[in-house]
Amino acid sequence: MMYKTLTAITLTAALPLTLSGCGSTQTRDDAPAQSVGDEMVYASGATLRVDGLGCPMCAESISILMGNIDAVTDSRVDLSSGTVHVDLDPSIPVSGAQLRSAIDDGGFTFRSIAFEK
Amino acid sequence: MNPQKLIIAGAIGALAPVGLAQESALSLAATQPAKGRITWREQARFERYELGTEEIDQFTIDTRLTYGVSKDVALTLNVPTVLRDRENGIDDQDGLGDATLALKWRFWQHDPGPIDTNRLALIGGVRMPTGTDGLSSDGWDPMLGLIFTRVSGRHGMNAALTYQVSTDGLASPIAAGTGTDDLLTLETSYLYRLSPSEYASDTHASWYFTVESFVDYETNGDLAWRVAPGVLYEARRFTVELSPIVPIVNDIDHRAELEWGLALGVRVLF
Repeated sequence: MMYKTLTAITLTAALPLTLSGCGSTQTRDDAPAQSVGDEMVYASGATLRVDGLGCPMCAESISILMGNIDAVTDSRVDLSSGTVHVDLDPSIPVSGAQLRSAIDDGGFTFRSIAFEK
Repeated sequence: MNPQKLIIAGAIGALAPVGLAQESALSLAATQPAKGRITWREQARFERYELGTEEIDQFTIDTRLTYGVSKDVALTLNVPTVLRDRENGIDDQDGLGDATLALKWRFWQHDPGPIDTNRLALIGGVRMPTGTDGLSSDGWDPMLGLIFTRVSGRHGMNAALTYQVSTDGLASPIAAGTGTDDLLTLETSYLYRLSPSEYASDTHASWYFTVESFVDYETNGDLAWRVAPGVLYEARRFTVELSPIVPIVNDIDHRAELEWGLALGVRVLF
């Protein structure tokens, strides 16, 4: 009886595991992330593609971390497209590696970056 | 429960500030704050137990600080404050409960899309005998567990299997894991994003329906299954959650049985 009860409970408790499998969303190729270097650039903005954002609070973490970078004057996270746009002070140099580190430190997956001159 | 104590406890809970998302109210998730960031979580929980013919009301406020040591490792300190009101009127207790210090290591992560993630983490910790007499197990109780988290579109789930070794324990325990026997817990939770159905560029908050399940098995043979359906509101800097707790199975001979419970929580990201 004890084992039957335990088995029934475990199966029922595991139901969420199967339910979560029915989510459908836009997925990206598992292409390797764009490599970014330490070379400093002067730019007015940048757009980063990020995966694994998951929720509004996750997105806020990125904004907080981006705010710690001198050149970043503002940032916006678009959960619908998985993009992070940062406004940059064109007089302060910044590297792709610096911006990527904010994504990595947040626990998300960096895909690519494009600077705007 | 003494109304004065309830008011004081409620006031503390309401005043206490603010966490991380796709985490349901009560169960573990393989998520953590960013490196160098702190989340502050306050959760007030009311539980009514039955021990023989006696009713026991317990009000707990969990204060939980989590620090992101690195992008994959987080350190959590949970300190409970407990008000216990017994029907017999002579064994009421209040004060600090046993604090828990835990280290979580996310050792695997796969993010297949913008808002999709799969994560596995190991958690290890120790419950320390910081509680006042009658509320403390008086032991240094180690705990080890494995946690899986998946977010896929509007659906999120968490599953955790933990084992806590009891090195001491209360002679007359109320809740699971506070006696002299080890505790094996299977936690699962499912979250469904009610709103918005699709994220937009200006999305700043989400509503979720959540359902959590807890199976507690103690080595003395006690078995309990609790379910907690609830709602969760998540903004960019804070989260509010509300979950009633309902016992489904109480196959218990060595401690009090849960009759019902209610959890109200707030989390804040710093």
